[in-house]
Formats: sequence, structure tokens, C-alpha cells
Amino acid sequence: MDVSQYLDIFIDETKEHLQNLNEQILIIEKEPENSDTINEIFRAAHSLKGMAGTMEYKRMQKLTHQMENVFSEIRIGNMKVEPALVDILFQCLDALENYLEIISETGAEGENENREILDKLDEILNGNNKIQTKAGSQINEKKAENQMAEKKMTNLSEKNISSSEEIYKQFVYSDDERQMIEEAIESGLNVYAFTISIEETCLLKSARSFLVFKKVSSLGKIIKTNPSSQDIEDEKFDLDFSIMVISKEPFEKIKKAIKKVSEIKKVVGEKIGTIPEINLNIAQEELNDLNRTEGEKDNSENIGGQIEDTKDKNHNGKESYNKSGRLNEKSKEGISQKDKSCNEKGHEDKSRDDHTSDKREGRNNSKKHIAGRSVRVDIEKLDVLMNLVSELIIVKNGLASQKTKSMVTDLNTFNEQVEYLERVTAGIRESVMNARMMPIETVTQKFPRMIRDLTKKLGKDMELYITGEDTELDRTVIDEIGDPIMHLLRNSADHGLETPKIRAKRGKPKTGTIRLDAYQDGNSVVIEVSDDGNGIDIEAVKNKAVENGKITKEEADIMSDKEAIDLLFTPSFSTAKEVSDISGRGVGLDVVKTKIESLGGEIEVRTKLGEGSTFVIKLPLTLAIIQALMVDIGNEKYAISLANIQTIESIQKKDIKHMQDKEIVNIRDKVIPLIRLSKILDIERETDDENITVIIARKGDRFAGFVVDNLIGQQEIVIKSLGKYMSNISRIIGGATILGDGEVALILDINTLM
Amino acid sequence: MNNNEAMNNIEKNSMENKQNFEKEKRQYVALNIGEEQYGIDINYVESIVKMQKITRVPKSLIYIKGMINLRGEIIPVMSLRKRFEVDEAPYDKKTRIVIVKMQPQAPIGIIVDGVREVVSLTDDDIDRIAVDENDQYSKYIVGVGRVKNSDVLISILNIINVIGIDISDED
Repeated sequence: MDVSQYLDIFIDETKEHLQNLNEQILIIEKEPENSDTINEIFRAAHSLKGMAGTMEYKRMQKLTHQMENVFSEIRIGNMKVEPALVDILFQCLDALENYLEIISETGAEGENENREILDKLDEILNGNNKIQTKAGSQINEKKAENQMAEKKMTNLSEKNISSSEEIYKQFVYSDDERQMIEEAIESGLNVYAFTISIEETCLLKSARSFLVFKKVSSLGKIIKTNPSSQDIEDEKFDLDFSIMVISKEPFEKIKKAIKKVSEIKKVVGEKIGTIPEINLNIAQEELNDLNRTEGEKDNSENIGGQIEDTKDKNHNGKESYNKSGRLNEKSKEGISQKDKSCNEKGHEDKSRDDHTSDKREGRNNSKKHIAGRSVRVDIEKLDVLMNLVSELIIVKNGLASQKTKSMVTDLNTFNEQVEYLERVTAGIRESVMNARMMPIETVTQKFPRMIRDLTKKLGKDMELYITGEDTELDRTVIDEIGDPIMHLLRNSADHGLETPKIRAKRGKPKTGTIRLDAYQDGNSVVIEVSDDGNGIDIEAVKNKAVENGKITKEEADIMSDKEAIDLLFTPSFSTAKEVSDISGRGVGLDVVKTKIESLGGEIEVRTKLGEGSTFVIKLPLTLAIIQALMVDIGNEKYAISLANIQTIESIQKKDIKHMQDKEIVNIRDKVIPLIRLSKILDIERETDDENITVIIARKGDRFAGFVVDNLIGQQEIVIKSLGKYMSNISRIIGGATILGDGEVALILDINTLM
Repeated sequence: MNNNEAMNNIEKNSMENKQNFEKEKRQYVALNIGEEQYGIDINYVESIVKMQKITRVPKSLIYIKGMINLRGEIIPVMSLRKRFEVDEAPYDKKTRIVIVKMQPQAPIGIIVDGVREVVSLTDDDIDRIAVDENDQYSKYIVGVGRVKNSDVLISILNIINVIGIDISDED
């Protein structure tokens, strides 16, 4: 069966489940008795197993199956959550993540059997059995009780389902269909009817039903469905649907095939020998009758769903519509009565009852969870929307530039129009931006687990506090920011925090604190990673740099603290290993810095020796639309992001001084190097004015002046990529934008020149 | 019944595909550089637009003329003359940009002296030519096609080599 089209959904869902498992197992490590969490874990493991099975990832399925077994033991109470078990569970998750990674790269799950983990799980399961026998009769009695209760429950649920079994009998046949069935039976083919019930917890009912259709279609021909296939596709059905199949295959084979689809709770069906001798109208009436009687019997939750169905069919008959409306009320009463009886029954066996109510609660919880999370939107769709918005902005800019030209008459209305258009575009832009925004939580949620692992590995007690997880960032930034933050957290844990001994000596609490704080600040988002550890030993950094030959002793002596800390971000510094206090402090920090700068952000460090350090990352809210200064260079137009620009100066030619072949200029007691953009961009220019316009830009503490010919003005521009063919041109071209007159202008990333 | 219809449709479609396959007739956009005629497989051609203002991109490849705005999308434009290392001709009323799309996300424009027509050629009408290592130019051509009922010869462009920038490993 071809399931490749579900691969994306599978990967997404598996990621979510794994994340969920990670979180829940972290909780259970702290509260081993939390039954909600245990149930949640069990469910997640179960769905993972089902999904892996559907996608035919056998190894993954095996591993999840074993995990599920362990949890089911825990859930029944035969086993306790112990630290050793938690460790193995985390190993399982890592192994599953590995599978997923391989799957998302290659589509197949790879060869790794993860025998070791499976063996460990086996050991736990077996070991538990031994303990259980030792524990003697008490548990056994309890188990027997449980089993009895289970039997009772299954009896009960079978009774409930009995009405759903009947659904396929309620098929209404058109003449064509009757003929088709007749012909099929005459020609020796089998006709089956099935009613398929889907698990209540299933999220993608239509996808499951689609899989059922696919499987059945490979064995025979589906001639009829109830509700209609369109409704099933649109998920307009409750938990069960019925199909009628013509096939050569034996009944059991088809039933088995359907059952194989995951999250299918129950399949009932039969072979149909003769066509029910009813025609359309009679069937309709009979259907109503059936519902009425069943409504009175009030024995099933399914009635509601059935009546909904009838309602749909009865659109033509107002009377019957009303009837079923009344029926609906009746059946509601029925359901509440049934709940009551269920409760009574539950009292007979407490543990079972606990379990069901847990399950119900759990289901509600998980539903809430999902609703609050995210709506998956294909980023391409958003890009299209984005494109439209950018065009709107282009129109607006076009209109705005027209304003100055010919529209002398009726200027007021025109202005109003432009203003209106501006309001609209601003509104659309904001909403599209918001759609692209994701909470930073999607990145931070994997960190608690990481810190836990580091605690064990480094033998340091530490606690991670995260605030501002709901701070939102553009999707493109979110995707990129995870690794740098992880790096900083590792740095803090590994090199920032002292060992417990030293902490005790310094009078600090035994457990180290690492904080991850995110918040919005104007048009940027700030992410701070801080620890209450040792802080950066600036003298040690300087010594190291001198040792490495990066700076001379004299330079080190006059170096400011800030400059010294900046040394940490230089590439070669990452090899530092000997000086224990700062060892590795620079590992990969240059990578972190490069990444953040490529996202248009900046990073700085605040530190105090002995008290801890804070890495502050500042990121732009969005990358797609920026405020830019339009300039002329020669006869070409370029855009420069306003974020880079400090001031704009007009400078006389005579004020330019030369130093080592470089032009410099002294502005307000600051020596600033001049960069001729025309030279860098290979633009030919004839004149050299007495007065030149210089854009002063700042990057960190560095300043530079960029010479342009003319300022056009400030404008909101939409950044567009130059596309794949132009990806390997000079980094100074940061993108392109479309101007009001439809012309393309390039965006200069002057940061790269500083 | 929906399922039935769907089944029938699938059968019908596959029948049609078979018939197309048997014909093996392909259409090419015929364009010219000076006096010479070239053809591009029409499946790759997204649209043909008139000459418009091109924004130069500093430090790009020599045959890339710059970027244009095609209905809100910014796409690069290359000169076929520059690519073939012949002298550039001034743009006139007949100059066109053929927008070619090899991959969904990567359109590129090709400046040509003019676009004449669309011709249909079967594989039999095209004489394949081998790539000659010594002749740079030969790798841009797949073969030469003869248009029926005329003595026009059309060099069919190897569009992948003409575009020449390997984008397959980009994401």
C-alpha cells in the first residue's frame, strides 16, 4: 500500500507525540504516582505504535509496542516508575527520534534494531513478573478483580455497540445499486457490509477512513458508503461509518485488512446473500421507525450520531425532521441515564471506574492541549498570501508616487484613497505576519529534557527556568534559533555553573540555576540565557588570547572588558581547552554569533566574575517586511535597512583624510572609515561632488560610513529572495524588492561590509 | 456513486495517457538569435514576456543580465547571446524574454531576439547530435529538428545546460 502521501503528517504527528512523551516522562520522574500522566504516556505510546504500524515501520513499531507494554504494567499498578526505568524510557525516545530523523531524510526507518533497548525493556517486564509472583495473593486477587471488571465492561460495551452493528443494515438502496448487487451475487461475487468504528481519541478520522477505503479497494470494490464518501472525507461523521463491498475475497480477509488500519476500534459486518426487499421510500420510513425505537431503548451513545444521519436524509420532509429533532432530545435523556447506570456499575469495581473516568478526563485534556497548540499551515500558502500583500503594498507605493505627479484635481479624495489603502495594507500585513508567527515554546520545550540529561552527565544539580515561552517569532527565525540557544544553555550548564563543591564553598545554593527568558522589546524579541555560575574570567580570557597569539600582551593590557569578551566569539578561540575556568567557554560561540547575525540579530554578554553571566540575543520580529532607506548610487537604486543606519551626514570632500590607503572621516570626535559603495558594486560614476552624502552605520561598537550619491527617502519594502540561481552571489546583496513603479531594486546588507 | 465515478475516471485517464504516448509528438517554442533558429521544449516554458527594465545585479555571472519583476515575483534573466558568446544586439520591439521553469520554485528568464511560433516535431524529425568535447557550443544543443513542408532547421536547446547553474542540491 502506498502511504507516502501521509509521510508528512506522520512525521509531524510523531514529532508531537515524542515531544509530548518527553514532557510527560519528565513529569513522571518527579511525580511517579501521577495517573493522568501515566495514561497520557500510554496513549501517546499507543498512537505512536499504531502510526508506525500503518506506515509499515516495523522496527519503530516494535520499540513502541514494548514501551506500551511497560506503561500498561505501570498503569495497572503492577510496576512502579523508578529512575532506572526513566533513563531507559528516555533512551527509547532518543532511539525513536533517530528513526524519525532517518525517516524524514530517506523515507525508510533504517537498519538500527536498537536491540539493547529492547532487551532492557524485556528485562524490566520480566523482572516485574517475578516481583509480582513474590508479592503473592494480594495482587493476584486484585488482578482477578480487574479481570472480572474488564469482562463486565466488555459486556457493557458490546451491548453499546450492538446498535452500531445495525448501522450497515440501514443502507438505503437506489435502483442502480440494487441491480449492481443483484448482478454481483448472480455472477458469484460476494457482497459484504461492514460498519467500522474508529477510536474516540482518533484525530484524523477522515485519514483513517481513507486508509480503510484504500485497503478495501485493493481487495474489492466499494459500492456504497454511509454517510456518503464526501461526508466521510469532510469528517462529517461521528465515530463509525458503513461500507458495502463487492469482492472475490473471503469475508475474514477483508475484515482483517480493515482491522489492520490503526485506531480502528471495531469492525462488524456480514455477507449479504439477498438484497433487503425494501425500496427507497419505505426504507426512509423504516429508518425513522428504527431510530424511534432505538431512541426509546436509550441504550447507546451512538444514537445521537444516527439521528444526525437521518436528519441529513430527511431534509425533504419537514415533519420527519421535527420528529427526529424530538428524538434527539429523547436520546440525550437516554445518554444521561446511561451515564448514571455506568456510574453505578463503576462502583462495583473502583479501579476500573477510576480508569475510565481518567480516560475521559485525559481525553479532554489532550484535546485542549492540541487546540491550544498550532494549526498546521503550509508555509507555501502563507507565502502566496504574503505575495499578494506585497503586491498591495506595491500598488500603494505606486499610488503614493502618482500623487506628486499629475493628480492636482480632486486631491482630497485621492489622498483619502491612499490613506485607506494604507490602512488596509497595514492590516493585512499584520495578520499575515501573525499567521507566520510561532511561539518560541516550539523551540524551548525540548530544553528541560536536555538539562535533565546534563544534570546526570555532569554530576551538577541544576534547574532550568523558562519564562516567556509564548513570545512569538517569525517561523523562519524559529526554525533557526533552536541550535544557538541550545548551545548557550549547554555552555551555561557545562562551563558556567560550578561543581557542587565549589558552589558550597562560595555559599551558593547547591542547585545551580539556569534561566531562559524571552520577551518582546519594541520591534525585536530578546532571548536571555543566564546562569548563576562562575561568570567569565576576563583576565583568563585575555591570557588565553595572548597565549594563542591572537593579541599581544600590550594589547591585552589596554583592552576593555567588553573587547575581551568579544574575543570569545572569534573562531579560533574555540580550541581553548587547558585553562579550566574558561575551558570551552568559546566552543562554538562564533557559530552561535554567525547564526544570530544571519538572522539579522545581535548577541552580547553581561558577566560578573563569581556571580554568573547572561547572554542576550536580540532578534528582529520579522524578516519579511522592513523599513528601508532608498538611495541612488550612480543611476541605480538600492535599499538599505534602516535598522543598520545610525545617522546620515553630509561631508565636505576636504574633510576626508587618508590613512593607509583608506579614506577616513572624523565625525564628532569619532574616526570613521569611509566605504564607497559605487566601487564595491562596480558602478561607474563620472562626477565627484564637493559634498558627499554618507550613511553612518553601526555594528556593535564599530562604525562605518557608506558613500551614496543621493537619498530618495524612507520606504516600507518587502524583502524577496533572489531565487536559487542567484544564491551564490556576493553576500552584500541581501535580497531584492519591487518598487512602486514595478522596478526591481536590490537590498544592500551593509552589515557584511563592516 | 462517487467511488464508481472515480474509478471510471482513472481508467479513462490512463487510456488517454497511452494514446499520447503513442503519438510522441512534442511541441517546441521556436525562437531566433540573429538568423539562427532555436527551439525550447514547450513543457519548460512558463510564459513569454516583452522586454522590460532589468535591474543589474553586481558580481553575478557574466551572462546573467539582472532581475526583473514578473507579476510580483523577482526572477533572474540571462542573455542567450552572452551565453553563446556572440555579440549582444540592441533590444528592439521583437526582443522577448522566455520564462523557463525547470523546477517549480526556480523560474529564469532567457532573453532572445524574437519568438516566431510553436512547432510540433516527432522524435523522427530530430537528428540527435553528440556532444563534442572541443566544441563548447555543442553541449547547449540536443539535436537539429526539421520542420515539415519547409526547409527550416531548428536547433533544439538542451535547456538544462543552457541555464547551466546547478540548483539540484539547493533546498
